[in-house]
Amino acid sequence: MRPRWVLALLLALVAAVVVTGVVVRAGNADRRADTLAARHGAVAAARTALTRALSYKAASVRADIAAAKPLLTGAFARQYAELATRAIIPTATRSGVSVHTSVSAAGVSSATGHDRVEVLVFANQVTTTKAKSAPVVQGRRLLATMVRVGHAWRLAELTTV
Amino acid sequence: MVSRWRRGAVALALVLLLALAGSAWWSVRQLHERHRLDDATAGTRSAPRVAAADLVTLLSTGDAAAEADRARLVAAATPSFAKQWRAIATQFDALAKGGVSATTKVRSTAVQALGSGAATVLVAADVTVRNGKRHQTTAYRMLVDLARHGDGWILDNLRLVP
Repeated sequence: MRPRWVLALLLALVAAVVVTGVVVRAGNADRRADTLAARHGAVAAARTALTRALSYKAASVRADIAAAKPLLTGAFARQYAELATRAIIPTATRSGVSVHTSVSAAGVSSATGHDRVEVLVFANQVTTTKAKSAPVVQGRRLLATMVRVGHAWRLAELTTV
Repeated sequence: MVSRWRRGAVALALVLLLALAGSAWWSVRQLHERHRLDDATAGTRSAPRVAAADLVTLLSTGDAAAEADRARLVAAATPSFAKQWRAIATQFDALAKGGVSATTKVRSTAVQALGSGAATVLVAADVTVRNGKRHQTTAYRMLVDLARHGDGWILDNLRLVP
Protein backbone atom coordinates (compact mmCIF):
# COMPACT_ATOMS: atom_id res chain seq x y z
CA MET A 1 0.00 0.00 0.00
CA ARG A 2 2.75 2.40 0.87
CA PRO A 3 4.31 2.59 -2.61
CA ARG A 4 0.92 3.45 -4.20
CA TRP A 5 0.26 6.10 -1.60
CA VAL A 6 3.68 7.57 -2.19
CA LEU A 7 3.21 7.37 -5.96
CA ALA A 8 -0.15 9.13 -5.75
CA LEU A 9 1.35 11.88 -3.60
CA LEU A 10 4.23 12.33 -6.02
CA LEU A 11 1.87 12.51 -8.98
CA ALA A 12 -0.27 15.09 -7.19
CA LEU A 13 2.85 17.13 -6.40
CA VAL A 14 3.98 17.01 -10.02
CA ALA A 15 0.56 18.14 -11.19
CA ALA A 16 0.54 20.95 -8.64
CA VAL A 17 4.00 22.13 -9.72
CA VAL A 18 3.07 22.05 -13.42
CA VAL A 19 -0.20 23.91 -12.92
CA THR A 20 1.42 26.48 -10.61
CA GLY A 21 4.16 27.06 -13.17
CA VAL A 22 1.65 27.65 -15.93
CA VAL A 23 -0.40 30.01 -13.79
CA VAL A 24 2.68 32.02 -12.73
CA ARG A 25 3.90 32.37 -16.32
CA ALA A 26 0.43 33.39 -17.43
CA GLY A 27 0.43 35.99 -14.64
CA ASN A 28 3.70 37.43 -15.91
CA ALA A 29 2.27 37.70 -19.43
CA ASP A 30 -0.83 39.42 -18.03
CA ARG A 31 1.32 41.98 -16.19
CA ARG A 32 3.26 42.79 -19.36
CA ALA A 33 0.02 43.07 -21.30
CA ASP A 34 -1.24 45.45 -18.59
CA THR A 35 1.94 47.53 -18.93
CA LEU A 36 1.54 47.85 -22.70
CA ALA A 37 -2.16 48.68 -22.34
CA ALA A 38 -1.30 51.26 -19.67
CA ARG A 39 1.00 53.00 -22.11
CA HIS A 40 -1.81 53.45 -24.61
CA GLY A 41 -4.03 54.83 -21.85
CA ALA A 42 -1.34 57.28 -20.79
CA VAL A 43 -0.89 58.59 -24.34
CA ALA A 44 -4.62 59.15 -24.76
CA ALA A 45 -4.77 60.93 -21.40
CA ALA A 46 -1.74 63.09 -22.29
CA ARG A 47 -3.41 64.20 -25.51
CA THR A 48 -6.54 65.23 -23.63
CA ALA A 49 -4.74 66.86 -20.69
CA LEU A 50 -2.39 68.90 -22.88
CA THR A 51 -5.12 70.04 -25.22
CA ARG A 52 -7.28 71.15 -22.30
CA ALA A 53 -4.54 72.62 -20.10
CA LEU A 54 -2.94 74.61 -22.91
CA SER A 55 -6.12 75.92 -24.50
CA TYR A 56 -8.35 78.75 -23.37
CA LYS A 57 -10.49 81.51 -24.76
CA ALA A 58 -10.29 85.07 -23.50
CA ALA A 59 -14.00 85.15 -22.82
CA SER A 60 -14.04 81.96 -20.79
CA VAL A 61 -10.48 81.68 -19.49
CA ARG A 62 -11.46 81.13 -15.84
CA ALA A 63 -13.83 78.31 -16.69
CA ASP A 64 -11.36 76.78 -19.18
CA ILE A 65 -8.57 76.78 -16.58
CA ALA A 66 -10.88 75.35 -13.94
CA ALA A 67 -11.93 72.56 -16.30
CA ALA A 68 -8.32 71.63 -16.94
CA LYS A 69 -7.24 71.45 -13.29
CA PRO A 70 -8.74 68.02 -12.55
CA LEU A 71 -6.54 66.56 -15.31
CA LEU A 72 -3.37 67.60 -13.49
CA THR A 73 -1.74 66.38 -10.30
CA GLY A 74 1.01 67.03 -7.78
CA ALA A 75 3.36 69.99 -7.87
CA PHE A 76 2.55 70.63 -11.51
CA ALA A 77 -1.12 71.17 -10.66
CA ARG A 78 -0.12 73.78 -8.06
CA GLN A 79 2.30 75.49 -10.46
CA TYR A 80 -0.38 75.56 -13.15
CA ALA A 81 -2.90 77.12 -10.76
CA GLU A 82 -0.38 79.75 -9.64
CA LEU A 83 0.59 80.56 -13.22
CA ALA A 84 -3.04 80.83 -14.22
CA THR A 85 -3.83 83.23 -11.38
CA ARG A 86 -0.67 85.29 -11.79
CA ALA A 87 -0.32 85.47 -15.58
CA ILE A 88 -2.70 83.53 -17.81
CA ILE A 89 -6.05 84.84 -16.61
CA PRO A 90 -4.98 88.53 -16.24
CA THR A 91 -3.26 88.54 -19.64
CA ALA A 92 -6.08 86.75 -21.39
CA THR A 93 -8.76 89.07 -20.05
CA ARG A 94 -6.70 92.25 -20.47
CA SER A 95 -5.27 91.56 -23.94
CA GLY A 96 -7.95 89.24 -25.30
CA VAL A 97 -5.55 86.34 -25.64
CA SER A 98 -6.95 83.00 -26.74
CA VAL A 99 -4.87 79.87 -27.28
CA HIS A 100 -5.90 76.74 -29.09
CA THR A 101 -3.64 73.71 -28.72
CA SER A 102 -3.90 70.60 -30.84
CA VAL A 103 -1.79 67.46 -30.80
CA SER A 104 -0.20 66.42 -34.09
CA ALA A 105 1.48 63.26 -32.82
CA ALA A 106 2.20 61.55 -29.53
CA GLY A 107 3.91 58.40 -28.34
CA VAL A 108 5.47 56.67 -25.37
CA SER A 109 8.98 57.89 -24.63
CA SER A 110 9.54 55.77 -21.53
CA ALA A 111 7.57 53.96 -18.88
CA THR A 112 8.23 53.04 -15.28
CA GLY A 113 6.06 50.14 -14.20
CA HIS A 114 2.34 50.58 -14.64
CA ASP A 115 2.04 53.98 -13.01
CA ARG A 116 4.39 56.42 -14.71
CA VAL A 117 4.74 57.08 -18.43
CA GLU A 118 6.60 59.82 -20.26
CA VAL A 119 4.82 60.87 -23.43
CA LEU A 120 6.48 62.84 -26.21
CA VAL A 121 3.94 65.16 -27.76
CA PHE A 122 4.19 67.24 -30.91
CA ALA A 123 1.64 69.99 -30.39
CA ASN A 124 0.61 73.07 -32.33
CA GLN A 125 -0.51 76.21 -30.59
CA VAL A 126 -2.50 78.94 -32.30
CA THR A 127 -2.56 82.19 -30.33
CA THR A 128 -4.83 85.07 -31.15
CA THR A 129 -4.87 88.47 -29.48
CA LYS A 130 -6.83 91.67 -29.82
CA ALA A 131 -3.66 93.51 -30.86
CA LYS A 132 -2.74 91.26 -33.77
CA SER A 133 -5.03 90.47 -36.63
CA ALA A 134 -3.16 87.34 -37.69
CA PRO A 135 -2.86 84.37 -35.32
CA VAL A 136 0.57 83.17 -34.24
CA VAL A 137 1.20 79.46 -34.84
CA GLN A 138 3.89 77.64 -32.90
CA GLY A 139 4.99 74.03 -33.07
CA ARG A 140 5.90 72.55 -29.70
CA ARG A 141 7.89 69.51 -28.64
CA LEU A 142 6.69 68.57 -25.19
CA LEU A 143 7.51 65.78 -22.80
CA ALA A 144 4.52 65.04 -20.59
CA THR A 145 4.95 62.90 -17.50
CA MET A 146 1.72 61.02 -16.83
CA VAL A 147 1.13 59.29 -13.50
CA ARG A 148 -1.70 57.01 -12.58
CA VAL A 149 -3.91 58.36 -9.83
CA GLY A 150 -6.46 55.72 -8.92
CA HIS A 151 -7.81 54.50 -12.23
CA ALA A 152 -7.03 57.68 -14.17
CA TRP A 153 -3.91 59.18 -15.71
CA ARG A 154 -2.97 62.71 -14.67
CA LEU A 155 -0.42 65.16 -16.05
CA ALA A 156 2.32 65.47 -13.41
CA GLU A 157 5.07 67.29 -15.29
CA LEU A 158 5.53 69.12 -18.55
CA THR A 159 8.81 70.11 -20.14
CA THR A 160 9.89 71.39 -23.51
CA VAL A 161 12.44 69.31 -25.41
CA MET B 1 -8.85 -2.51 0.11
CA VAL B 2 -6.93 -3.15 -3.09
CA SER B 3 -9.85 -2.15 -5.33
CA ARG B 4 -10.40 0.99 -3.27
CA TRP B 5 -6.78 1.94 -3.80
CA ARG B 6 -7.13 1.12 -7.49
CA ARG B 7 -10.22 3.29 -7.84
CA GLY B 8 -8.46 6.04 -5.97
CA ALA B 9 -5.41 5.77 -8.16
CA VAL B 10 -7.52 5.86 -11.34
CA ALA B 11 -9.44 8.90 -10.10
CA LEU B 12 -6.23 10.64 -9.17
CA ALA B 13 -4.71 9.77 -12.54
CA LEU B 14 -7.75 11.22 -14.30
CA VAL B 15 -7.57 14.42 -12.28
CA LEU B 16 -3.87 14.59 -13.03
CA LEU B 17 -4.45 14.07 -16.74
CA LEU B 18 -7.16 16.72 -16.81
CA ALA B 19 -4.90 19.16 -14.96
CA LEU B 20 -2.02 18.49 -17.33
CA ALA B 21 -4.24 18.73 -20.40
CA GLY B 22 -5.64 22.03 -19.12
CA SER B 23 -2.16 23.31 -18.42
CA ALA B 24 -0.98 22.29 -21.87
CA TRP B 25 -3.93 24.03 -23.53
CA TRP B 26 -3.37 27.15 -21.45
CA SER B 27 0.37 27.07 -22.18
CA VAL B 28 -0.16 26.92 -25.93
CA ARG B 29 -2.67 29.74 -25.72
CA GLN B 30 -0.27 31.86 -23.68
CA LEU B 31 2.70 31.04 -25.90
CA HIS B 32 1.32 33.02 -28.78
CA GLU B 33 0.46 35.94 -26.52
CA ARG B 34 3.90 35.78 -24.89
CA HIS B 35 5.65 35.94 -28.25
CA ARG B 36 3.55 38.93 -29.18
CA LEU B 37 4.42 40.65 -25.90
CA ASP B 38 8.11 39.76 -26.28
CA ASP B 39 8.11 41.42 -29.69
CA ALA B 40 6.25 44.44 -28.39
CA THR B 41 8.49 44.85 -25.33
CA ALA B 42 11.67 44.48 -27.37
CA GLY B 43 10.30 46.75 -30.08
CA THR B 44 9.56 49.56 -27.66
CA ARG B 45 13.26 49.59 -26.80
CA SER B 46 14.88 48.88 -30.15
CA ALA B 47 12.75 50.91 -32.55
CA PRO B 48 13.42 54.37 -30.98
CA ARG B 49 17.12 53.56 -30.70
CA VAL B 50 17.34 52.60 -34.36
CA ALA B 51 15.27 55.57 -35.50
CA ALA B 52 17.47 57.99 -33.56
CA ALA B 53 20.72 56.48 -34.84
CA ASP B 54 19.45 56.39 -38.42
CA LEU B 55 18.37 60.01 -38.32
CA VAL B 56 21.73 61.15 -36.98
CA THR B 57 23.42 59.25 -39.80
CA LEU B 58 20.99 60.51 -42.39
CA LEU B 59 20.99 64.18 -41.45
CA SER B 60 24.67 64.65 -40.65
CA THR B 61 27.08 65.71 -43.37
CA GLY B 62 30.55 67.06 -43.62
CA ASP B 63 33.04 64.31 -44.28
CA ALA B 64 33.54 61.23 -46.43
CA ALA B 65 32.83 58.87 -43.55
CA ALA B 66 29.43 60.47 -42.97
CA GLU B 67 28.62 60.21 -46.67
CA ALA B 68 29.60 56.53 -46.72
CA ASP B 69 27.50 55.81 -43.63
CA ARG B 70 24.50 57.49 -45.19
CA ALA B 71 24.93 55.61 -48.44
CA ARG B 72 25.02 52.31 -46.54
CA LEU B 73 21.93 53.25 -44.57
CA VAL B 74 19.94 54.18 -47.66
CA ALA B 75 21.08 51.04 -49.46
CA ALA B 76 19.74 48.93 -46.59
CA ALA B 77 16.43 50.81 -46.42
CA THR B 78 13.18 49.80 -48.08
CA PRO B 79 12.85 50.60 -51.81
CA SER B 80 10.22 53.23 -51.07
CA PHE B 81 12.55 55.03 -48.68
CA ALA B 82 15.44 54.81 -51.14
CA LYS B 83 13.21 56.45 -53.71
CA GLN B 84 12.13 59.10 -51.21
CA TRP B 85 15.73 59.81 -50.31
CA ARG B 86 16.91 60.07 -53.94
CA ALA B 87 14.45 62.94 -54.40
CA ILE B 88 16.21 65.04 -51.75
CA ALA B 89 19.75 63.62 -51.89
CA THR B 90 20.87 66.14 -54.49
CA GLN B 91 20.21 68.96 -52.03
CA PHE B 92 22.41 67.25 -49.43
CA ASP B 93 25.14 66.66 -51.99
CA ALA B 94 25.04 70.30 -53.03
CA LEU B 95 25.36 71.41 -49.41
CA ALA B 96 28.30 69.09 -48.82
CA LYS B 97 30.11 70.27 -51.95
CA GLY B 98 29.53 73.87 -50.88
CA GLY B 99 31.41 73.28 -47.64
CA VAL B 100 28.27 73.23 -45.54
CA SER B 101 28.19 70.69 -42.76
CA ALA B 102 25.32 69.50 -40.62
CA THR B 103 25.19 67.74 -37.28
CA THR B 104 22.09 66.21 -35.76
CA LYS B 105 21.30 65.80 -32.09
CA VAL B 106 18.30 63.75 -31.04
CA ARG B 107 16.52 65.30 -28.05
CA SER B 108 13.83 62.73 -27.49
CA THR B 109 12.14 59.74 -29.09
CA ALA B 110 8.87 57.94 -28.56
CA VAL B 111 7.00 55.01 -30.00
CA GLN B 112 3.73 56.02 -31.63
CA ALA B 113 2.80 52.66 -33.10
CA LEU B 114 4.35 49.23 -33.00
CA GLY B 115 3.34 46.12 -34.89
CA SER B 116 5.02 42.84 -35.66
CA GLY B 117 6.46 44.16 -38.92
CA ALA B 118 6.46 47.93 -38.58
CA ALA B 119 6.98 50.74 -36.11
CA THR B 120 6.40 54.47 -36.14
CA VAL B 121 8.69 56.57 -33.96
CA LEU B 122 8.48 60.22 -33.04
CA VAL B 123 11.85 61.93 -33.05
CA ALA B 124 12.58 65.40 -31.72
CA ALA B 125 15.90 66.39 -33.25
CA ASP B 126 17.98 69.55 -33.55
CA VAL B 127 19.94 69.95 -36.76
CA THR B 128 22.81 72.45 -36.71
CA VAL B 129 24.02 73.64 -40.10
CA ARG B 130 27.47 75.21 -40.24
CA ASN B 131 28.78 77.30 -43.10
CA GLY B 132 32.16 78.74 -42.23
CA LYS B 133 31.76 80.66 -38.97
CA ARG B 134 28.01 80.87 -39.27
CA HIS B 135 25.75 78.24 -37.83
CA GLN B 136 22.05 77.81 -37.33
CA THR B 137 20.15 75.24 -35.33
CA THR B 138 16.65 74.19 -36.31
CA ALA B 139 14.32 72.13 -34.15
CA TYR B 140 12.60 69.38 -36.09
CA ARG B 141 9.65 67.16 -35.31
CA MET B 142 9.75 63.97 -37.29
CA LEU B 143 7.91 60.71 -37.68
CA VAL B 144 10.09 57.81 -38.73
CA ASP B 145 8.48 54.66 -40.11
CA LEU B 146 10.58 51.53 -39.68
CA ALA B 147 10.07 48.14 -41.26
CA ARG B 148 11.11 44.89 -39.63
CA HIS B 149 14.04 43.27 -41.43
CA GLY B 150 15.18 40.04 -39.83
CA ASP B 151 15.90 40.85 -36.20
CA GLY B 152 16.40 44.54 -36.89
CA TRP B 153 14.68 47.59 -38.33
CA ILE B 154 15.24 49.46 -41.56
CA LEU B 155 14.04 52.88 -42.66
CA ASP B 156 10.76 52.93 -44.54
CA ASN B 157 9.57 56.51 -44.43
CA LEU B 158 10.48 59.89 -42.98
CA ARG B 159 7.97 62.67 -42.44
CA LEU B 160 8.19 66.12 -40.95
CA VAL B 161 5.33 66.76 -38.57
CA PRO B 162 3.59 70.00 -39.51
